[in-house]
Amino acid sequence: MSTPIRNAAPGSGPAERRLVLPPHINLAVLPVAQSVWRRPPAAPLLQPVRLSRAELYRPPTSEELQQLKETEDLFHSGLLSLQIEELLKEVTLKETKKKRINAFLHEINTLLSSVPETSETDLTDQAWLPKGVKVPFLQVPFSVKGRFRFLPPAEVNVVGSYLLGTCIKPEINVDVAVTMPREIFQDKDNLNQRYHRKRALYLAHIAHHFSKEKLFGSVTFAYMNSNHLKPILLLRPQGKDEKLVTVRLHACPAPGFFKPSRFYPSKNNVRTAWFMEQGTSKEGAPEPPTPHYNNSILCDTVLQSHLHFLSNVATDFPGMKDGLALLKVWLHQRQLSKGLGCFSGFLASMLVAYLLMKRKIVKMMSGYQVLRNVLQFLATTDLSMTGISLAKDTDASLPSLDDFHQAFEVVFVDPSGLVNLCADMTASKYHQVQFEAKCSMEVLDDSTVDGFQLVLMTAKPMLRAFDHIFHLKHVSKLQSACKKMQLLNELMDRGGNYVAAALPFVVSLLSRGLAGRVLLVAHSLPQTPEWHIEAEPPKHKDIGPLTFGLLFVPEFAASALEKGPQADRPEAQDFRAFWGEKSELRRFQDGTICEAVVWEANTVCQKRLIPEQIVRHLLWLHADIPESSIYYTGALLESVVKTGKEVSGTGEEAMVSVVCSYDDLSRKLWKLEGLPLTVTAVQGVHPALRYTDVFPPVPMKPIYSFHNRIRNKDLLLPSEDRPCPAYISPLKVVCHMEGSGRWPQDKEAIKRIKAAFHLQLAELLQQQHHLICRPTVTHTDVYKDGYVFRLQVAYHREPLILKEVVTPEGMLKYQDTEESQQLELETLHLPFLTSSLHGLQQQHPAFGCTCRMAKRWVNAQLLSDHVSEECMDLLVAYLFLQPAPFTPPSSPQVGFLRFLNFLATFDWKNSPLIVNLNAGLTGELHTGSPK
Amino acid sequence: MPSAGVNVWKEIILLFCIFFFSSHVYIKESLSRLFFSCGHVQSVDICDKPEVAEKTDTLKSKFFNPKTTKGFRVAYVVFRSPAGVQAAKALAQRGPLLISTESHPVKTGISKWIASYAASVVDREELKAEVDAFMQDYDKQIAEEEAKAAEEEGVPDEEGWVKVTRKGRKPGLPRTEAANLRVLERERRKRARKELLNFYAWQHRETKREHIAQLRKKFEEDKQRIALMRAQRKFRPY
Repeated sequence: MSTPIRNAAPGSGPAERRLVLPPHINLAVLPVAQSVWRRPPAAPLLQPVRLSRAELYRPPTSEELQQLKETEDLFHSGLLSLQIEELLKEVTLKETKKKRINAFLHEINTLLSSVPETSETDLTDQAWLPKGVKVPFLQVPFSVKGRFRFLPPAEVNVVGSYLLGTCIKPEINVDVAVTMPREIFQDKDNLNQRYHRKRALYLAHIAHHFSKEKLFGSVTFAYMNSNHLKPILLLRPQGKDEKLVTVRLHACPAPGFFKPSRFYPSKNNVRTAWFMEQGTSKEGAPEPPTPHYNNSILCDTVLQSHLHFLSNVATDFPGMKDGLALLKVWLHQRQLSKGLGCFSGFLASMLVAYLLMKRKIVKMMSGYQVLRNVLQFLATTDLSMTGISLAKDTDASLPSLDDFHQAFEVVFVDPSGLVNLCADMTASKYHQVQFEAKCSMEVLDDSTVDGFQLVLMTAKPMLRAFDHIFHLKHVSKLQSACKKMQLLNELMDRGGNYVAAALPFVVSLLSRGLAGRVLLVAHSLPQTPEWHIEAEPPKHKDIGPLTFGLLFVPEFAASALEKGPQADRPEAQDFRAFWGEKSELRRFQDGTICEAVVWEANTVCQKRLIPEQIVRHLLWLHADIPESSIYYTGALLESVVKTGKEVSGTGEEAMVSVVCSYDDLSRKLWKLEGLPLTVTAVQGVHPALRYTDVFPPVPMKPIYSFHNRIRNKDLLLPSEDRPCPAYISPLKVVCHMEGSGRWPQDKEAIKRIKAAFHLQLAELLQQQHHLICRPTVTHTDVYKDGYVFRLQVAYHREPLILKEVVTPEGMLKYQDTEESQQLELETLHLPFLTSSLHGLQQQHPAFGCTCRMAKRWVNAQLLSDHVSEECMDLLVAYLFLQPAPFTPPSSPQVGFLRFLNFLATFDWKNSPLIVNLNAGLTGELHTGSPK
Repeated sequence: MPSAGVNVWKEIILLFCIFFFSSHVYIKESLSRLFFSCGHVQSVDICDKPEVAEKTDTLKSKFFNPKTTKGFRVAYVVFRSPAGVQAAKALAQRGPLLISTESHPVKTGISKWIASYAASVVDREELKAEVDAFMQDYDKQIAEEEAKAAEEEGVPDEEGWVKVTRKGRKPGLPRTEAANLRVLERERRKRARKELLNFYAWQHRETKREHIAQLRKKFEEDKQRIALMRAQRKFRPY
């Protein structure tokens, strides 16, 4: 029976190939599957799956059983494994493309051997270099000893991810190591950037010759990972393949030329006298170590051995390739994989190798398991405190991990025991990686969310990930920062790159200043674009603005006081030096006299900006960075919720005073004497009582001269010829009365009784609390503290009575009617919403303001008719309840930006949005899976 | 006379006038003033839809009225004599009729708002009196019903049936849907308790089969969802 179907579906689609089901099962489902895969409907919508009884209850094969079981155990749902398969298909390189790339590489290889030699000249004499090409190196200071000539490469090797098969689309980079022959080098080439300059000249000469070849679509320079000491040559093929691949030529020294011991982290290879361009060196002054400089040379010597090492790891380990692809996607989504000091894909491969060595990963594992284990390791290990090493034999002559820790912030030593793979990474960047790993693990372990989507498919740009962001507009200001912080040695070590030299110090300065207020201080990675070979290489300031992100601890971020040590303690001196003039002696309630810094802030929105004050103050005090260079975005959008002439407040204080007044009223209602039934609950309904009213009511007093007084009705009537009185929006409050047998069970009668209660409430409030009240049939308005509260009495059985229908057989049935639904909304659902969101505001102080901004935006788009106010409240609440992969917003700005992004990207058609208020929904209900 | 009125109503007169006020009294006044030129207006009735039946019920309560519908409403103008209707039909040629005249201006803008605010203020005594009156009537009615029910308690009707109520010595089950469902549920649970699910071998087999079928079904669903996501290019990471 199955044969004709088998013929009808020859290799049916990519989906079929990936399904690991035994063949006959696959065929059984084909009629369903194929129609979906071949012709995606114009408006794709989920249809219920229809499987015949025969298909569902067919005896299973052992393979199928195993597969079903695996899906059940390993993944929360089968969906995840299928999703990962699809993603991998999307990013892996196809075989056909590989052939084209290989052909291109062969041609490069032959071209390289035909590049002509040059005669030997001084390093500084660059006249031989033709006009069409500039040396891709910032030669500061220019004068240096040594001689250079070009000789064809001794060896050309493909290294890195391409051979391992771990490179992923869309940016396919093929690294090619070009070994410069030994004859080019002289003794002491390790000193004073001589090696680096030879390397640059070598590449420049190649670039010049390649630029004339028709084979290449583009020949450009770039810095390897934006490290300006390491230019590389980028080659792209001509024609339609130009976007397909980028070949990166790395020049590296002849193996065995440099003695490794010269490059230990404690060694110096850049002389101060040369760097400062002084004639003679000061006698006796010890030269500072140059670990980063040394590391940059060592990197080039181990390219080959790293490849061998990794290919050993990758053999018989199919999961590694998949796992690395996933890791690379993960890093890319978090903007961690590019720039100076990035967590590159290469680093990820080495980490997998390390975990394999430590047997935390075994070669049987799948890609997803590799990803999980790497994330787990990152989340739990702080490489800035306890470094790790891939070196197996403990050679006593090699530098120890402690030596590395002294020289570098983050330590991960390669198999040779010489190179720190994380040399350029700042501790702050590593902590960010750790933090991300922790968050991702939490998401992956949570079975109620779509982990795949959140961990691998959602981009986390800084603007949406951090509560406050600021940009250092002019990075050249870091030059003066280096001077102020006396970072000459670091500057020398980094080859004059003041951004790289100053960044770790600036970040640690900020971390200390904001300690306790922030969870994370992160910075963007300096990145330089590639440039054409005719152009001058980009300078340090060309990286554009540097971005810093702050992630707050909501409880402490806005505290106005920075309490220091007691005045007589030795630490007090240090505290004073750190905070400068801002530090003053203060006497505290417990009698101690302490150093303290108090930040000026009167309103909630000003308090939110205390971190800005700290950042500006510290950067000016310690790094000479003027305020004008700092572009701080923390509260730029808050002006839209400010009202009135006093610009200071954002209405949050107003909201608090409304709630206070309401609390007082509800207490008074509870204690009211003389009511025939007691008040069981008082619940707010108005948005101001859940902190989400765009412009909360402000206390108002009537101006008597604008009104006519009508004595017999006790009424102030506005007079026609005077200005219109201000509008006071009534704050609706539901007042539940005790259930009792005395309530009538007829809807008309209930209405009368409620009206009688309104009358009585008004009378009693007037008598006992001297509040002005105005009762009507449906409510009583109470004028209190300048607000008007609209009290509405509710009886809990009333919606039920409205629903009553008697069937012809005489049975009593309950059926929703328009009236009952309206009443339920007013007395049940809205009070519940209000109290839940009131609770949410207590947990997340940024909720109210975010919500108000979102409402402002919707109103400004003229969409408020389509999206109700309660709906907006819930949408914003969702962002706080389900923030993954982010953390709950701690500033209205980031909340609002995420709201916009959420509206733009959520798949409303196929997935329900479930707002799990008070965590009331659990299990299947919550995941919102259809059915 | 009313019969003459009914005949006349069959000839439908379409009059388009737009009223911005909600008060019935006000509309009635304005309409009778407008049509005064055609003949003596006996009464004006306002209803939500055109209907033939004569409206006799006057509004009993001043405060507790059902909500008035928004949008168009229909008014019937009843003339004392048929001539009035003829005259009204001829009005169409005379051009628009004005409601707001100098002698009777329609309140607009702030003065309208002030007036409606003043009208919205409830006289407490009046409201109280009305509520009390209604409740007295209601209580009396309930008491009467109860008395009647008490009288019929246990007394068979002409066919010999005895009505069981919730009151009395042996209250019966309430006849509501919820109570019915409760009973059914209790029955079902009682039966389920008695039944053994893993007694026979075939029962065991069946549950296993069912489990696999469920897994298969879920797998199919997942595959379908994946296909859908692929169609939406959901797997392009960036």
